[in-house]
Amino acid sequence: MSNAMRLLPRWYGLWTGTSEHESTATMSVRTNILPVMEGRGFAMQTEMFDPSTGTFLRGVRFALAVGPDGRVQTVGYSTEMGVFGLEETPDDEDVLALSGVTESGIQLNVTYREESPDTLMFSVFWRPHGASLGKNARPGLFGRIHRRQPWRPPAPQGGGNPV
Amino acid sequence: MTTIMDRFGPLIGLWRGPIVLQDGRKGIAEFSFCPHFEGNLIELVALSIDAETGESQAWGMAHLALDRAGRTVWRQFNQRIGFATLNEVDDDPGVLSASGSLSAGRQMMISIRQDGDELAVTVSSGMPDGPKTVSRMRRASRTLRERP
Repeated sequence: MSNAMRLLPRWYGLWTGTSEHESTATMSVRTNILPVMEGRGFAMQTEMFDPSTGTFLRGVRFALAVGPDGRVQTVGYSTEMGVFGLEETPDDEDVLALSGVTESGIQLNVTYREESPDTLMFSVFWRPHGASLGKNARPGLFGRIHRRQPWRPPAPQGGGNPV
Repeated sequence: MTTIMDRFGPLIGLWRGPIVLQDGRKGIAEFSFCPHFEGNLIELVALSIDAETGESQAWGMAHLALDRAGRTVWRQFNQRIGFATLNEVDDDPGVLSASGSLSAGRQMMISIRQDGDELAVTVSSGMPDGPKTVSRMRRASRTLRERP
């Protein structure tokens, strides 16, 4: 079983914390991790805010699933980089690692590491596709989030009554 | 700046109706379109239900957003085809059509035509003249709140 399929169910819920970005000050972070497609996939949504003003700064939403070829990939969108598709790459057993190229030609590498059952550390590297990472490269974005509440099923919405 | 919601905002909501899948199975389709990130992303969750047993027979998700040129990029997953990225192709105003490459030289094409409270969806994922998934749905709910 892939790390994603094993780790994500135990990460369901709301996580909050802070992150650092290469070009901005500390941001507050909210991440929701939840099942989608009747539990056959997982969604992660992260929103980052200016802690002093509450202004929304950036957001990422992606869903992971196992394709017919057995590979774990994503349907994803970032407010900075647009639509992207990443693929899970092998890593340590407590790490979710994703890598790929966005539609705008950016090489993106994302990792979530379980520091403890209630703490995740994440880092994001990006660079133009084809450029080398460099020996001492630092993540463009990194942070630490803590479990705030377990996932709860949302209330039904939509319904069957015609408008 | 134009967002995907500016172009396809009327899709938001829940749609239901009969569907014939590419492999000939018939069922009930349920498509929900939901906005995220101030209208810059529309997420589609799609499900086909066996009308007799109620079991799920096909499911998938897609993210729709505009690229820098203002054209729609459609990144999708479904359990039969897997993952694919489609790019918008020209069509009538108000019709969203997108196509992209799959493995083994196959092409995927999707067309969504919304007319008031009716939604017609056509999907092909093989040869251009091969069988298609076809559904004609009606609006079941006008709005969906943003979800995580």
